[in-house]
Amino acid sequence: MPTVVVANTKGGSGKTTTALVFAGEIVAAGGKVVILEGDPNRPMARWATRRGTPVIEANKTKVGSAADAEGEIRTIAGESRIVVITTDNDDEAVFDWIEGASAWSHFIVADPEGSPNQWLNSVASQADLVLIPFAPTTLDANQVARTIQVIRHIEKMARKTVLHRILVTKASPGAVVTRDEREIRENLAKNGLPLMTTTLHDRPAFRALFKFDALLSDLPVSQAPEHQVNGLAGARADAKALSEEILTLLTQAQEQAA
Amino acid sequence: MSNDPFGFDELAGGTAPKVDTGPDLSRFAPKAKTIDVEKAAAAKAAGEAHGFHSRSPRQPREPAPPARPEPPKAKGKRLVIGRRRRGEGGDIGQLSLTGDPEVLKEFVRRATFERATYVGFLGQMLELWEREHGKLPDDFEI
Ligand SMILES: Nc1ncnc2c1ncn2[C@@H]1O[C@H](COP(=O)(O)OP(=O)(O)OP(=O)(O)O)[C@@H](O)[C@H]1O
Ligand SMILES: [Mg+2]
Repeated sequence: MPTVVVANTKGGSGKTTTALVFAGEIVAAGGKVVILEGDPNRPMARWATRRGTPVIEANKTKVGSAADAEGEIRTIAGESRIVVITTDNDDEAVFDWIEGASAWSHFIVADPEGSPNQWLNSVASQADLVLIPFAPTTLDANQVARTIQVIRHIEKMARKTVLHRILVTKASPGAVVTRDEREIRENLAKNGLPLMTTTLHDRPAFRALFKFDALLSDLPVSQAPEHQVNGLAGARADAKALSEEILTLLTQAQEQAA
Repeated sequence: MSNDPFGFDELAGGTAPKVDTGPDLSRFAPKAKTIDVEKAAAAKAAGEAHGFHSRSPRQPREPAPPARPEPPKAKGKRLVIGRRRRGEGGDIGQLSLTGDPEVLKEFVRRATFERATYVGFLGQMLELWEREHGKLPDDFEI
């Protein structure tokens, strides 16, 4: 039922990968996920179509209410525990899709495009958690700050808080943390910008998700040499840590709200 | 399946406890939620303050409260930032920035970590700096 929005106005920071990794963990745990795609390039819809996961194109499937949206999702889902909805062209209808999806799925995971726009604002306003993936290079720090600014603006105007966390992605695996990364982490912490404990390291297995149109649990897709994937155990460990940390955060938020 | 190669689950009538240690999703069970219209309206206003335009052909559900973005107070030389999206929009603000790399670094540092009202302009300021003063300094760091 919660909505997790993966947002960073910086392109290529690992949003889509993070969204898919988290969605995969929920499915592996027996849950259902709606991936809301706000990217006109539609990487999620392409991934889904190639592997036979149901896709709703919201600009072709007009809905007038949340109940309509829920009906569409149930119909197309069948036995699938993932449904991808591409809604990039409409930041009003997206509210109906969010309401409808929450009635069917355990989680809604939203994957916006890599530039700020009204779709992101609309979806982020309904988020239970905004995850900000952040590849630890200096210039990306600026973009993280931009994203947080959008969130803070919304918080201020709504006089409500939005739970958000920065997630370091594509960090070098292994014991060595680059100087840049360490300084950036220290700076974020010093300035009170909330950081996830989990890191999604730079691993070929994460790139393989889109190469093979797979979830981590599907890899390797066969025993053939060309299907072997490096870094799979590490990627699984990162993914597990990510989902556990997200679920803990959301559990705490639920308890605080109660 | 591969977890249970001998078919113990089936023998037990499918009631054998799952050995899966995956997370418990019971508290996140599907449940229709209603849109938080206040937040939706605030998001709309925030978007308008940033010069975003709705891509929806429909009317908004709730009228957005009037947006009052804080005008940034600038000292020194000002560069005007223009944002144009989809053929519309206009200038959205002015910030203080010179061609001095040290000033730029300090600006980015403060905008990133201290001045929430400035960071929304950061990407554009960097672009603008490059356009006005050439390539960003090599050792450009926060
Ligand atoms: N943890 C990771 N390890 C290795 N490669 C990664 C990781 N995260 C992302 N990548 C790779 O980086 C590239 C960009 O990732 P991704 O598409 O997830 O970013 P994005 O933020 O969604 O980009 P966009 O702004 O274009 O939507 C892809 O090639 C992806 O495979
Ligand atoms: Mg993406």
